Amino acid sequence: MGKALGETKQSGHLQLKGAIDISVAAELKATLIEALATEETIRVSLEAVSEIDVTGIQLLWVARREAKQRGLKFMLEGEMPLPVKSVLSDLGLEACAFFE
Amino acid sequence: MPGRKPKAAGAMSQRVQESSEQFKTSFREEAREILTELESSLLELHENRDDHDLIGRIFRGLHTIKGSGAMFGFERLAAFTHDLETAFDLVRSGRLEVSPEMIDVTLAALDQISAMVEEGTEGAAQPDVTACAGILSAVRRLASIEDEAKPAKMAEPAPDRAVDPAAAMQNWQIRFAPGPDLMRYGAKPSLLIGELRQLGYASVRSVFDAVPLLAEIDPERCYLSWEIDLLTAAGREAIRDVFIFVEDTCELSIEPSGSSMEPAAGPAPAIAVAQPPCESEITARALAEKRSGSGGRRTYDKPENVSSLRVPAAKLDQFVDLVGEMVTVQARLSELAGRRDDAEMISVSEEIERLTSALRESSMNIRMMPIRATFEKFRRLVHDLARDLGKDVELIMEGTDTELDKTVIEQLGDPLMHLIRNSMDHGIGSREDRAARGKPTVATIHLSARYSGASVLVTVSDDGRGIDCDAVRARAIEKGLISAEAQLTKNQIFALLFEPGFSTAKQVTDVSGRGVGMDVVRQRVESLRGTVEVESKPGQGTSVTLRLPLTMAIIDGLLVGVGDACFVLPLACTLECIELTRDDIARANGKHLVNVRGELVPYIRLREHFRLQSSPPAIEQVMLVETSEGRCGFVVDQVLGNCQTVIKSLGRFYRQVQIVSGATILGNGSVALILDPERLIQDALREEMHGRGVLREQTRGSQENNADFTALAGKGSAGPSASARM
Repeated sequence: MGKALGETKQSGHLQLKGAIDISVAAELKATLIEALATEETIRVSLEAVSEIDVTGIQLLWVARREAKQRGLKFMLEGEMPLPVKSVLSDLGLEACAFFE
Repeated sequence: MPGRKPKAAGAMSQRVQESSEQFKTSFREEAREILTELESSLLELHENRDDHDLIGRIFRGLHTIKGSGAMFGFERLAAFTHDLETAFDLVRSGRLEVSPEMIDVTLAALDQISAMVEEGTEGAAQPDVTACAGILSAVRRLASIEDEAKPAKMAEPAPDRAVDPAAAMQNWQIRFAPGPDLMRYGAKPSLLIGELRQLGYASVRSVFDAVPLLAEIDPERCYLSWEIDLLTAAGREAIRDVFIFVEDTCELSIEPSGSSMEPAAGPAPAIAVAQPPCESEITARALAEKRSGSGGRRTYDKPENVSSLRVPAAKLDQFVDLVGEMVTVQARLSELAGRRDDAEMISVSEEIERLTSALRESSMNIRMMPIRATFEKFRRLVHDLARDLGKDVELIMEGTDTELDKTVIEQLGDPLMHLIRNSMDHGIGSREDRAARGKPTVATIHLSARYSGASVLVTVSDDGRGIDCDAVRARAIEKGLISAEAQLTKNQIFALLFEPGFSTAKQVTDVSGRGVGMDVVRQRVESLRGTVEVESKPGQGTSVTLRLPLTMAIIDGLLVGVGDACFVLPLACTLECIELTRDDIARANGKHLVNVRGELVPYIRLREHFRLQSSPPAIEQVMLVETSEGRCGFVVDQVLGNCQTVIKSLGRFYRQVQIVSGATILGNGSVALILDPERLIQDALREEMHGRGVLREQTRGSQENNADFTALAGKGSAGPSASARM
């Protein structure tokens, strides 16, 4: 996967890092589509994310929705960094309930 | 993946960067407008320090600049504006009084804000870091804002920002659905919602309903929308202001909901009494509703709701150029249709002529702008100069809605600035001087614009000392511009003021008196095909009027023929056409005068003036024109008819030829020169003076009222032209 999104440690594990914003949105979309097509369990780590915007949030949200529909597992892992938490709460997305 | 993705992402981020740059540009444009408004509001505040509406407007302007600045990456600007905003918030809530010093500091701050807004654009001045620091510390001192409180405030401004605590709290339901391109513009919904939160207590809910399938999603588009319940004392206007930079591209509704409540009401079961909103809020709400139709709703997919569009000036110029070409081709078509004598073709050609004319009119209209913005800028100039010169001056503006061609408006700033500076420095005397003459100590400068036929008259007048003709004369003799014996009329003396390097100021000041200015005024107005007229009464004041054409690129002309040559006279200045027979010429005793219903009007024979070799027909035509010097006639062989004329410049080689304002291409492909009647008369008079003129040598004599051209033609003239011809 591309530099901006970081490297997968193992299959099904997306370790995102840096700014997950509109500049990498197309790349994130492709990555998520590929993960949904090939993996049964998708784990996403946001620990190394420095900021996130609406495009990133809606992609993760829709990926989770589709994983659920297909009976796949889609999980968020690790501690959510403060900038991500604050954007989620600014946008009225309760940090904990977002990816339940 | 690795080979493909980074490339895609690279292209993507470049596109994102471009749109974000676009959005910055439009922020700059909006910010410039807000800054101009802020400046005039501040200067008005100087006069009416207790005007709450003004204070509210200033606060809102600063608030918008700060908020939107932060949103579009102008962090420095946002941080700098923060304390100013706080200061005006204090003023608004009655905790701080407006002082002249505060207004001056804020004005200085606006200059820096403006520099920060322009930072990164071509040729922009850098913000002055030292000045910024000085301004900030002055603002903090004036508003008693403590430094240590700042970092916390910067990060999270108090929730009562932009809120009048005394006003009743009201619940608002806000629905905000960003347009498809919001993210590409670099705008951040989280910041917008964050700003809303600052207005009061907000409960925010994201709506994901519109998000499509992952495979179908446009990753750069925002599909989320938000429903926000906001409890705030701020009015609809203040809430809308949060969205000011995105409202054209988003769906936004702001509706009051439930009952309003008192902020101070205790936790006890107090009865919620609907407080009548304060008057300004009613006005603001009414305005907001009026502006946006029903209930403040705006949608991006309904273009009829968008009241105006920003278009780059270059696109407009290109459009006008194309219309100009169209006009030229249409002239060819008319000519061709006329020659073929084909009824069907003539009818099509006439239809096209009608449409072209309408197209030309509306393209010209698009370029028309009210002169207000140009005028408003001078409030600041007058304020600053009055302070520097220790004079009390009031600026009164009239006719700010008068519209002029964009090009003319753009070029008008400098000449007007020179004229105002001159009035402030030379025209208006010191307080003591004015008191001694029994004048009010507060001097007045009138800046006005009004229509006059196809021209707009822009006048700068003052109630100062007036022009000292003797001083001007003495100075001109000293400079060698005129001989010591020259008999000059008042207007001829005024004309000397526009000679390069002329200045009567005894001392060179920072403001004016360097002898640059008035000749620059003349050059600039001249390049706009305008004229300058000066009127002055000793002890009562001076008034300078710039007469400017409404449009620049295309004019309605009257085509006339002399021998084989064709010329175009601007239709706006033509009056009527009369015949000139050989008998008429004989009866005039060799004078170039024609009798028009009992009035003698001088004329210029274009054949002689241009030294054309052909012989005149038995009956010639005198085309009468109205000029600033009175009526005059041009003798031609025949009047060929009206034509829409696209003015083409003649190029560098002919820059010295001033009697011609350009050329145009006729329907048959030949070129006709567009004559400048005013210049032509000047030229004829000059030749006359040098003894080789076509106007007959007449008796010499000074003529006080030289506005009457008849007198000049009849009696000859001495000295330079009658008035400053621009």
